[in-house]
Amino acid sequence: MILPNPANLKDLKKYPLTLTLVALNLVIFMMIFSGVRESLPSTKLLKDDGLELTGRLYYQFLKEASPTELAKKPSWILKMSSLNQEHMMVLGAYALRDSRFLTTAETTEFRGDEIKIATWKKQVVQFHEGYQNHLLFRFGLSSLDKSSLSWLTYQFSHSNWFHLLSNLAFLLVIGAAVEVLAGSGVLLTVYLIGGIAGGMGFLLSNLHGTVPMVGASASISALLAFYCVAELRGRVRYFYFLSPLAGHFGSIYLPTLLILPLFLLVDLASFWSTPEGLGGGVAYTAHLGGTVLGLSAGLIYRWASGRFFSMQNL
Amino acid sequence: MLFPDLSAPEAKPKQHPKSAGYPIAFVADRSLALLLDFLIFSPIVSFILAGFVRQTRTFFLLDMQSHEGVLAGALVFLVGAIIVIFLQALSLFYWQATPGQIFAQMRVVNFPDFKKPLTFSQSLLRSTGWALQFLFAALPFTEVLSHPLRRCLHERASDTMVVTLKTIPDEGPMPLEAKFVSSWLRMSFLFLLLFGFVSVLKTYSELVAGQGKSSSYGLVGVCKELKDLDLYGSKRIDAALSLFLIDEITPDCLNKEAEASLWGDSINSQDLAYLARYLVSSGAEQDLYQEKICSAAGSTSCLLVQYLKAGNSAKTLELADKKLWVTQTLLAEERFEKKDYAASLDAIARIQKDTYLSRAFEKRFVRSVWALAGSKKDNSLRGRKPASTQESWIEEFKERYDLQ
Repeated sequence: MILPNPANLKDLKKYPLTLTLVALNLVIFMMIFSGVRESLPSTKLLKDDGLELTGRLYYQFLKEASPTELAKKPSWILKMSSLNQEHMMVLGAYALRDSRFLTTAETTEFRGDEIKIATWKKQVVQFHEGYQNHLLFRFGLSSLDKSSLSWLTYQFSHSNWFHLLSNLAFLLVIGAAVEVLAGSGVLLTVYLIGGIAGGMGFLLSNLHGTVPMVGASASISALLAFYCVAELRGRVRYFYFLSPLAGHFGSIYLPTLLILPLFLLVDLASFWSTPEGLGGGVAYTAHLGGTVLGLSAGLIYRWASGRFFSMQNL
Repeated sequence: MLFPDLSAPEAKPKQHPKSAGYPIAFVADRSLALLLDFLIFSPIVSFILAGFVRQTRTFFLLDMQSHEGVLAGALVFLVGAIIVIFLQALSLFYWQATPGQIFAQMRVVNFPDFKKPLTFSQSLLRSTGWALQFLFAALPFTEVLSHPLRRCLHERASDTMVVTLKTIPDEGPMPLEAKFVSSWLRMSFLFLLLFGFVSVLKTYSELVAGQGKSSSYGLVGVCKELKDLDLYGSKRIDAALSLFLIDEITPDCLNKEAEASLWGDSINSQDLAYLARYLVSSGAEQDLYQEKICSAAGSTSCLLVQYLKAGNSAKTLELADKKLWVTQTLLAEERFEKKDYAASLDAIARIQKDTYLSRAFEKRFVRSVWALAGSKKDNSLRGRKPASTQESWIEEFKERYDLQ
C-alpha cells in the first residue's frame, strides 16, 4: 500500500479553501444524496428479459438507420446477431444509453410480439420519466440535460460514500499542495474550470448518451496535472506500508513529474481498452479533459511566475 | 533431535558466515521497489496493450465462451510479460536498477565482480528468470529470505546481486532463519507439484467426460428438446405446440420457439406463435394474448384458444384447421377423454404419419390401444361385439411391437 502524504498536510491553516471544498462536497452529499438509492429506477427493462426485448427493438431501430448513422456506432454492434439472446441483452444495455432511441421509441413502429412491444413502450416512458426525476440525473451532467447549472452542480455531487470518500481523499492531498503552492484563488479557478473541461471531455465522448456524470474527479485531475507541471522538480512524500515489521513501513519521496504520466496513462489505457459505448462506471474522458486543462493552467502559472524557462532547462 | 534454547545468550543465532562484507539490500527495500515497479510499469504496459485488451473484451462481449477471446487473452498476457521483461532489462542495462530500485536506493551489480557493468544479455536473462518464477506461484522469490546474500534463482542464474546504497547494509539471514525458510520452500514446492499434478488429472478427466464441449446456449429457437427437429416456419411452431400439449417439451422450450417465430423473418407462423405465448403466459398477460389472437375472429388459433379456455367445447375444435398437428393433438386428447379410443387413435395416426413426431406420440398410441383393449373386454363381458376398427388397431399394435 502506498499513499501520498505531503509534509504540509498537518498545518490546516495553510489550505482553508481546500478544507472548505472538502466540507462542501461532504455536506452536499449528506444533505442531498446520502438517502438516495444509487441504482436506476426499478423497472423490468433492466432485467434479462427486458434487456433482451430492448435489444431486439434496438436491432430493428438500427436496421432503419442510415449508413452514416451506423458508421458512428461501435463496431461490435454490427457483429450482433438477432438469433443470439446474449447479444440482444448486451445490445439492450447499450440501447438504454442511446438518447435518440429512447426519445423516439414511443412513436417508432416495431415488428414482433405486439403485446410485448406495447408493454415495453409503456415501460420505456416510465423509465424515462423516472430517470429524469432521479437526483443524480438532475444534478449530474449528460447529453440529455446540458443546463448551465448542471456544469457546476455535477462537480459537487457524488453517487455513493465510496465515490465521495475516494475523491475527497485525493482532493485533500492535492488541493492542499496546490493551495500552499499557488494560493486559494488559483485552486478555486483550476477546480471549477477543470470541472467544466472534464464535463466537455465527457460530453464529446458521449454525444448521445443518457447516463449522467457526477463527481469531483475531473476537477481533481485538473489539480493534479496543475501541481505536477507547476512543481515540476519537486518531490512528494508518500507513506508506504508493506507489513508491520520494522523497516517495512515509512515514508519515501517520489518526483511529482512521475505522477502525471502515470495518472494520464492509466486514464488513457482504461478509456481505450473499454469497448466503445460500454463505460465501466468511470468517466475517463472527463479525467482527461480535466488533465488537459490542468496541464495548460500549470504552464500558464509557470510562465506567469517566471519559472517557465527553468523548466526548459530540465 | 535437540533444539537450542534461543533465549540463552550463548545460543543466540549469529549472522550468516557467508554474508559478511557484502552491501546486501534489505528485503523491505526490495519489496518496496517491487511495489513501485508495479505502479510504474503497469500503466505503461496497459497503455501499450489498450487496443489489444479492447479487442479481447469485444470478443468476450460477443461470446462469453469465445475461443478467439481466450486466444487473444493469452496473447495479451504473453505480450504484457514480454514488455515487462524488456522494460526491466532495458532499465537494468542503462541504470543498473529498475525505477523502483532507484527510488529505494538499490542497484543491481555483476557478481562477484561488482565493478564490471551488466551486459544487456545478462539483464535480459535476469528479467526473464524473474518473470518465469511467477509460473511457480512466485515461490522461488522466498529464497530472498534464506540465501546468505539474498540472491534468488534469477540472480544466481544471471550472476547478479542486488546491493544497497545505504550506509548500513543488511546483515543477511540468520543461519536458523535461512534453514527454516529453505525447508519451507522445498515443502511448498512439493505441495505445488502435487497440486499441479492433481489439477492436470482432474482437467483431463473432465475433458474426457465431455465438459469442454461447446454448447449452443443462447441461440433463439434452439432448446435442448428440439435441437434435432429439422423443421422451419409454421411447421416448427406447430410441432412444438403439439409436443408441449403432450408434455414432451417444457414451457421454456415452447417459449423459445415462439420467440424465434415472432422475432424472426417468417410471418406465416405468427398466429401459432401467439398461441404458444398464450399457453406459456398467465394472468393479465394471457388475456392480452387471447385478445390479440382473437382479433382475427374465426382463425384456427382463436378457435383453439376458445377450446382451451372452455375446456370441453368439442364443436369449436371441430371447426379448427385439421391439417395442423396441434388440432389433431387436441382432438386425440378430447376423444380419449370421451373414451372414443378408436377415434383418438385415428388422430394420433394422422400425426404419426410424419416421422418428426412419430416417436413422441408413441406413448399416446400405446395408451389409447391399451384403453381400447380394456374397453373391448368390458364390451365382451357385457355381451357386445367389438367393432372391426377396434380389432384393426389392436392388430396394428401387435404388428408394430411384434406380439403374437
